[in-house]
Amino acid sequence: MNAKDFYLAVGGIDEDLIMGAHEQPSRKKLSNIRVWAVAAACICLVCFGVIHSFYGTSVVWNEANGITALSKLSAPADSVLQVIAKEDFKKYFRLDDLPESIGGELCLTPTSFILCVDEAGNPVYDRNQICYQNVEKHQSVCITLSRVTQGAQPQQDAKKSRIHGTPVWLTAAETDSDTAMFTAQWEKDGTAFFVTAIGLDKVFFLSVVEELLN
Amino acid sequence: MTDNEIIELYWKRSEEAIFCTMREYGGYLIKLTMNILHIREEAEECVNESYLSAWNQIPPDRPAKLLPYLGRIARCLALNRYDYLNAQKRGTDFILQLSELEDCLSSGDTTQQQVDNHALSQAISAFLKNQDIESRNMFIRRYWYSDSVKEIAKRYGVRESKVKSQLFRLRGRLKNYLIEEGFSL
Repeated sequence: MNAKDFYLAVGGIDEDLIMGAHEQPSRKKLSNIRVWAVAAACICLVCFGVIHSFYGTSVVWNEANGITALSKLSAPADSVLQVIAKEDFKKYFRLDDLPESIGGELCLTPTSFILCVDEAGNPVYDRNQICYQNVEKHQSVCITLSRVTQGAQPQQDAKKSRIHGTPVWLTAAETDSDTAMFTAQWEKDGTAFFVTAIGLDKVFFLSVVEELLN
Repeated sequence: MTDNEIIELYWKRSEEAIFCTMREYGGYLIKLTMNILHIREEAEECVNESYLSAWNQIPPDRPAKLLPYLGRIARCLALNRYDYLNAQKRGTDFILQLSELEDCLSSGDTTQQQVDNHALSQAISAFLKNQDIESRNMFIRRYWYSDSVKEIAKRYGVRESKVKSQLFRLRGRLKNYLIEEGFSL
């Protein structure tokens, strides 16, 4: 079977499905009371958001050299490498969830989770990276997590942002091919997060960071 | 005019049936065939052939709904015309649609195999009925109506990237479903 035959097979689907897709997406009419109720709720939400952002979130961008990139670290030679399951990974890094997608359109790429332990079973190297990409692979977000290896340290004059109350260091730069690149780093529950994004705009990147911090 | 009234005209062999069909569905059929062929004259010719096919098939056919019935005829004629025109140099979005549908074929082997098309259509229907409404309709708008991604995004008020990713995930799920159902594509 080739794609044209398959296209013809799609042509034979049930008529109620075809008619269903023919209808315009419904937009329900709201009564006056509902309109005012929705408007009042929106105003309340806006006020809440303004107050919350005043106290909960402030964003400051640093230049890329404002924060040292993650240095290359190797696992100790005498450590034992373990491949761990997703649930153990989440438990170790104190994650509530490891979403299959973020930002509505970036999907988790397949990956393995590792942990290096010493003879006594204590973790000595735990740096893991999980990546999300869009379908065309023009946009990507990579998150490096670690609890035992030291993360990048912001320079003294690097300005700190605050997102939902969590201190975050943000940088913005352009790659050699003029593609925007952003980074964000923070610590939560003892886990250091270092996020790198390529191909996103600032607004989208910040929404991804917010999603990860929630 | 309702579909039943138009179909009655066909059964009475009244030429008014064709004029009514043109009035009710002409715009829809032109849009459908243009999505495949991208050449106005060719699309109009396909639509005219669709009216002729409908005239020749009704009776004995008595379709429940004219929109999907006429749409199927027009899609088939347009696809045949697309082959004839060697549309490698035209209709790039339709070529993209076909290449997207190759995601649903399990091995990428494009040789002819005997597959019961009716059973496959039924399986695709069953699969689509189990999907959420928005994804289902996006799939049908893309691969039945041959709308562009831009048109679908505008219709449902979402970004084009969201349409692409939803279609991508749906094609993957459809492929797995068809494999589980025993279809060797």
